[in-house]
Amino acid sequence: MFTENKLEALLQSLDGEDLETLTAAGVDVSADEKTTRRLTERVLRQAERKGEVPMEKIQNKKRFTAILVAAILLVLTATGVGAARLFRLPLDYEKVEEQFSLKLSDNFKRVVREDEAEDGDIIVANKTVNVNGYTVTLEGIIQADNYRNVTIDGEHLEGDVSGTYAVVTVTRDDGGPIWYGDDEKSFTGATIGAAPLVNGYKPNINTYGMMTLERETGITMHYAEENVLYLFVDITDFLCFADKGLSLAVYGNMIYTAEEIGLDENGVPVFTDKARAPLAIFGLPVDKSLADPARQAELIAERPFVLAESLPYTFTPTD
Amino acid sequence: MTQTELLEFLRRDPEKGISAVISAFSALSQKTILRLAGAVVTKEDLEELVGDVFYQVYKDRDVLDPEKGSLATYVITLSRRRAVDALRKRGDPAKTPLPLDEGLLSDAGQSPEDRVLGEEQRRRLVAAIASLGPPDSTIVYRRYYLGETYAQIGKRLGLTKNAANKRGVKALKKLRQIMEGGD
Repeated sequence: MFTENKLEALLQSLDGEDLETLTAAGVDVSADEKTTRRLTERVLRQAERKGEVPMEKIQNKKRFTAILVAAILLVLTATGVGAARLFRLPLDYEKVEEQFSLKLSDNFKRVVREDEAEDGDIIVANKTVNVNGYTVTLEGIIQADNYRNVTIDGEHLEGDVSGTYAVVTVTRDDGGPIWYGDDEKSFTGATIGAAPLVNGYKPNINTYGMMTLERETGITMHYAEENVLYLFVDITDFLCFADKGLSLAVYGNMIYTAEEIGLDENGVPVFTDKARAPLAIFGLPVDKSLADPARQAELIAERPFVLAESLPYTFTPTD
Repeated sequence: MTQTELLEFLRRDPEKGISAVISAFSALSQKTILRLAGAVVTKEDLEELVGDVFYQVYKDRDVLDPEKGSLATYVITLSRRRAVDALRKRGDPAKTPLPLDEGLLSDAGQSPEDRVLGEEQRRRLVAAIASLGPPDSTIVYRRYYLGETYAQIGKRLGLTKNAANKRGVKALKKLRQIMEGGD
């Protein structure tokens, strides 16, 4: 009889090969961000004490070491006022490409809202919210191709994958560091995260229910530079819900619970009073013609647990 | 990212690379140390020991040879050594006899035949878990290897505790079928 005890006993002696098998199969074996951050700091301090890493370098690198961070290379061929906004992002693209083994083509697909159409491959949203001492900006939406071989938050991305991303920046109004802080109860000590939401549905339908199951790439990539946090949020699999309206929640936690986000009378996601660290919820300017009702039905049918967790709710989504 | 790629990343960019390695293997290291020396290490000790393991990985990054063994195996080996060190330093020899060879720790008390059978079963089990696919494979790994609660797992995966629990129970049933010869 194969019992739970037997299972546990067999797993006790996992070796490197087993782990490779499991990670290759998409098993999330990663440690939580706080543990990773704490241990990384400890190792780098130890290395510094032994003279293996210059202290200055540690200081400069500190903001990068919270979790495995990554960023994508943006190749913008767009022209016009809108495009300039993303051009100003102070990313060192070549450096990023080299550091994270990223390779992006210049082949960008346009994902634009009809009334905000620009020549190029981005939508510039430029929506800014000031909240709790933070400035949160939805910079826009981009399409990127051909990134590969990156592990982020334990998820392995490999192969040529195209994705559509909402790009968000977050800064502290006092100009302080965005990534680290001593007070873990404050935003500075927490990871700032983001998740796309389909309007009218409970938040369970977001990141895990849809993205990780479908693409295994649907994750938020973080990148911090010069006290600016950049979040690249994969919204690819949400585009088929464009007719429902898409929102993007930005919050000061790694993950929120379903109770922290509710819906207003129009079915638009809002933070509830249970939200521990709400920052902003943006409406995403996506073209409704990207909606694919058949795909919506397919996604939900494939995930009965998502359906169970997501519906019914006080608001019934309408087409 | 494969373990070889992870090692390459560590060499190319040690500061970011070690963070990636820690993210991938610190749970494995903790578990290995706890299994061997859980009786004598405190939470603070554990963090120190795991830190030592990854400092060693950081230091040895340029001399590690993926042809000779995976990064995870190296982490396990280092973790076992740290566990034995902890037993030597902190253990009460009357209550926690020291193993003669840390390499035998995981198989203590087993005959060679049992060891081979156990290893074969473990490989089958790992393949079976992998075949469940995410998120069920992750739920099983985190529940039965890392010992996390369903609430913790649910939080990580964006599921409610009940949903994680239900999926875990179903996954276990499926595993049982596979391991007992059914489908």
